[in-house]
This record gives sequence, C-alpha cells and structure tokens, in this order.
Amino acid sequence: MLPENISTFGHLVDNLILIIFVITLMVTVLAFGIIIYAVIRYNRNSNPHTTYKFGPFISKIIYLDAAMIVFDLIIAYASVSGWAHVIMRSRSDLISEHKEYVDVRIIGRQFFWSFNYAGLDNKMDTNDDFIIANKLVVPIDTLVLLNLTSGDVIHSFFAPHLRLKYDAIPGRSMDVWFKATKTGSYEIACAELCGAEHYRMKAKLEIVTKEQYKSWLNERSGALSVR
Amino acid sequence: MSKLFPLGITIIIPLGVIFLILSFPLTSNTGPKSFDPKVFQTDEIELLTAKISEVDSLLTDSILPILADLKGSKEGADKLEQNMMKMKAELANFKHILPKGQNNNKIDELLALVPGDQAWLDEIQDFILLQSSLNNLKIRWEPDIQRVQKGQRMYKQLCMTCHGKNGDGVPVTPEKSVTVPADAESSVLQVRPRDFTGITHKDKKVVFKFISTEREYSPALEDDLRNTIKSGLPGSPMPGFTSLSQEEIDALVDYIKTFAYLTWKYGNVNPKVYVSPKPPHDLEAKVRIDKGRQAYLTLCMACHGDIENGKDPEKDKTVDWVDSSGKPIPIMPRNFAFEPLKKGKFQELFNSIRLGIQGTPMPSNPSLSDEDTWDIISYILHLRKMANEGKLPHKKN
Repeated sequence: MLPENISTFGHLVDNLILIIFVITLMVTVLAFGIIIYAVIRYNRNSNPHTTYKFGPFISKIIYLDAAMIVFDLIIAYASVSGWAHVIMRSRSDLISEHKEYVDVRIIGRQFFWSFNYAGLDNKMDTNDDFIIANKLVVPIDTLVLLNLTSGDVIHSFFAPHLRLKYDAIPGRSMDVWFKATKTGSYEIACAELCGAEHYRMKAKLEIVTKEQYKSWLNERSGALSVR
Repeated sequence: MSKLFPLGITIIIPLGVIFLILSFPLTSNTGPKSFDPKVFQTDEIELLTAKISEVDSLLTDSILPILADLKGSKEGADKLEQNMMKMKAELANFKHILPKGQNNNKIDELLALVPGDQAWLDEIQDFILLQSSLNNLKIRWEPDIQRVQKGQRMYKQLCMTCHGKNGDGVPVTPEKSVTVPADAESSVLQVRPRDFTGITHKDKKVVFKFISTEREYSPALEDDLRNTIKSGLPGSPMPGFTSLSQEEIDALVDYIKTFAYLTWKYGNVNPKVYVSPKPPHDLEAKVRIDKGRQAYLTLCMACHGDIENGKDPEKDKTVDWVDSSGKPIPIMPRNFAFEPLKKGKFQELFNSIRLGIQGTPMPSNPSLSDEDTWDIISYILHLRKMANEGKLPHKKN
C-alpha cells in the first residue's frame, strides 16, 4: 500500500500512519454501527413515536472524553517516538553522533529543486561548493543533513520513500535529516501547490554506494578543488 | 419521508452518478488521452509564431522595399536622401544587434555608401546587387517550431523564475539575497541572472560571459550555452541541470535563442572557436607556482587583490550591464582562494584568462603564452589548496 521504506526512521512514520488508521477505523466502524443499528431497530414500523431519554450529563462527557483522551495519548506517544525523533534533533547532536555526514542545502524554486552541495571539504560556502538542479545524490548508510529553504514561495520537500515531507518556507531555514538504507533511484516531489508548473516540480533521489558517491563528488567538484 | 423520496431519485442520485462519471478520468491513469495540452496553448503558439515572423518582417518589409524604391527615384534627390537616411537608420539598428562577422561586414559596405554622392548613383547597380545580398545574408540558425515550443515549456518550469518571463533577467520572484545565509554575503556575489535579450546591456547587445569564441564575434556557441546549463555556475544560484537529456537541453537552447532572434539567426556562421590546450602534468610543481605568482602580481593583482597576504579583491568594478536607472552594475572580482569558480575546470579557466569574460572588466590576454597561463593557473590552484588547509589569512576564518 505504501511505497517501499528506505530510511532508518521510516517504520516509525509507518507505525504512526497505521495507528491513526486503526483508531479512525475503530471509531468509524463504531459510529456507523450505531447509526445502522438505530436505523433498523427504531424504524417507523417498530417505533412509530419518537421517545427521548435523558441520561446524566456527566456520563456522556466522560464516555466521549475518555475515548478521546485515550486515542490522543496513543497518537501523541506514536508521534513523539516517531516523527519527533526526526525533527526534534539538533544538527550539532546529529553531527557529534555520526562522524560521517553529507551536508546539502535545498532551495525550492519555481519550479525546480536546487541542491547545494558542500563539496569535498564538507563545509558550506567554501570554494568547492556546487549546485545541481533536480537531482539529489547521497550515499547509503550515511547521515544526510538537509537544510531546507525556499527562494520564492512555499514549497514542500516530499520524498515518499524516505517518509520525509517538510515545508520549505521563504526566509526560514529548517534542518531535517535522513539515513537511507537501500540504493536505487527514487522520486522527490513538491507537496505544496506552488504555481502553474507545480505538477512538474519533481526531482530524482539517487542513493548510491559510498564509493560511487565519492567518485561522483570528485567528478562534480571540478578540477580546481583540492584533491 | 414519502415526499423526500422522489427528491432523492430525481436530484441526488443523478448528481452522484454525474459526479462519479466526472471523477473517473481524474482517478484513472489514462494520462494524455484525456488531456490535450494544445487546447491550452493555442494562444502561446500563435504568439510565438507572430514574434518570429515579426522580426523577419523587419527585413522584408522595411529595409528591402526602401532599397527597391531607390531605383526609380533618381529624379527626386530629396526623396532619395530621405529614403537613404531611413534605410541607414534601419541598417544601423540591425547592425547594432549583430555580432561581428561576415554579415556585419556586408552591412558596413552598405553603410559606407553616402547618399547624394555621384559615385553612389553610378554604383546603383552594384547597390541593388548588394541589397539582394542582404536578402541572402548567411543564416546561422533557424528555429524549429516544435523544438522551440518544447523549450518554452521547459523554460517556464526551470528558468523563468530567475531569468524572467521575457528572458531579460528580471526575476519573476525576486530575492533580496540570492543565496540563503545572511552571513555569507561577503563570500557569495550578488549575481544578476543573464539577460538573453540584450535589453539591459549598455549597447543593447546580447553578451554571454563564458564563451569559447573570440570576443564579440558571436553571442556564444550553442555548446557554451549547453555546457553552462549542464554544469551550472558554482558560486551563483545557477544550478547544473544534470538530469536533462540532450534533446531537452537543445530545446531549451533553441528557445533561449528566440529571445534575441535576429542576433542568433544572422550571427557568424562559423565563429572562430578557441580550443584550449590540455593541462600539463606538473601543475603542482613549485617552479610553476613561483612563476605563476610573479605573473599574478603583475597581471591580476590590480583587480583580484593580493590574496596570499590577506587582501580582498577590489570592489566597485562596473560591468556592461545597467540597472533600471541606467547605472552600470558594480561587481567584485573573484577571490580565487575562498570562492567557488564559476568555470572551474582547468581548460575553462584557461579560456577565461585567455579570452577574458565578456561584459566585465576581465580583459582578454591574447599575448600571454600557454606556459605563462598554466603558471597562473597553478598559482591559483596553490592558493585554493592553502585556503582549504586554513593557511591563508582571511577575515572569514
């Protein structure tokens, strides 16, 4: 049903989706069950006159709220252990945790993705930076730090296989990260209606082995970078 | 309930059925079968064709009839002169947008003929011949409407946001700072997107910075444009569109050319291409670096600054492009050590030193020998290495 999961935190997001799905399914089945039961049981023939019953007010509140709170708690727990694990980690924490990382600045533009690579020295704004449009090449099993922003309007960086979707907002820069577990070529889309060509704002996500990435980086960084 | 029932049959159910039928093409994966882009783009195709025929008619409608009239107007010297002035103005206009070359010289010949001059009247036959040769100007490029159309679609998606709807380098969505980090102001130049029409150039010429032909003899080679689209310009917001296929890039280049239609159509047919030699293997040798340093100090330091001793490049150099108020735009020469090079491959750098960068104060250095050029490049390489190792003084570090 969902696209293949290729990121380390993907299962957490999937769990969250599943939990929300099950809860809404339960509530839907319950609500529709009561409606259908009531329609059949209290139809015109068997129950020609409407009767009203008033229980204590407080009990209704308790039933409703208890159910709501339980479900909310479940969703909140799943969110905190899942999605929050992705977004509530500071950049410096992640860097100290993983010594090896790839730094990419993503700028959403009308209508393409611009990927700024830090180059061979892995430092942004130095002399070996380079920019590529619509193609994000990253190594497998390596922390990838993304710095998201937009050059014009609101875009949304959406990599369904990574279970990663985050808004790119002009004037703000957001840090997100991922770690891919499988090589291959996947799709990146813009998930926020950003203009007439929004539907064509797609990019390629290429996950390659570490050796392939190294040689690609060498090739892209140009001859005048330090080898 | 019995009253409501017919309502349900007559209105709600048919509505639901219609909704289902309508939503079917949205959900099914038929794609182009149910959607014909041409329906939406008729106007644009017409506009494009009109644009192309309009510029073509400049030649056939305004210049050629005037020339043809001249034959029968020998008696009216005034009319002749008037016509001649008109034609000269047209020709001068036309010459202005053409890059130097065969076609340009031909127009020069025409312009050299002085109205009212007896010699000119004698040469009227030659002149008529020449005017027909105007008609036979060598054509470098003709647009293929299908390709241009494809390019236009891609331009709208990929280029329009920065290069502008009309290709004049006025962004659709202007940004205050072109690159994101506020603290990186010093390291990243404020870059203006290239103007494909020539409107913002002080002489209204279409000028590209990075070309591999001799200066001013051609707007650029198609390959130069392709190269820039493919590899981008590091240190500017221009990304490398690596994921585009060859046909897509060709279509894009074709569309870009329609912005300066006449310039590209009548440009030099065979512009002289400059091919840089292969880089030597000993670029990192100390001898070369020392020699390069000497050459740098005499040739480059005045603008690019004494980078090795922590001096920044000079500011306030002006380029040939003007802003909306008519003032030339200031730029900052590259700091080789700390900034990405827009064209950073050895041979590209060689070209930049040899041919200069058009429209900017960077001059061409045709007298520089190959060896000296490689020396300078090896010094630049050395500077970049030093910067990466943190051995160069710079206010950023």
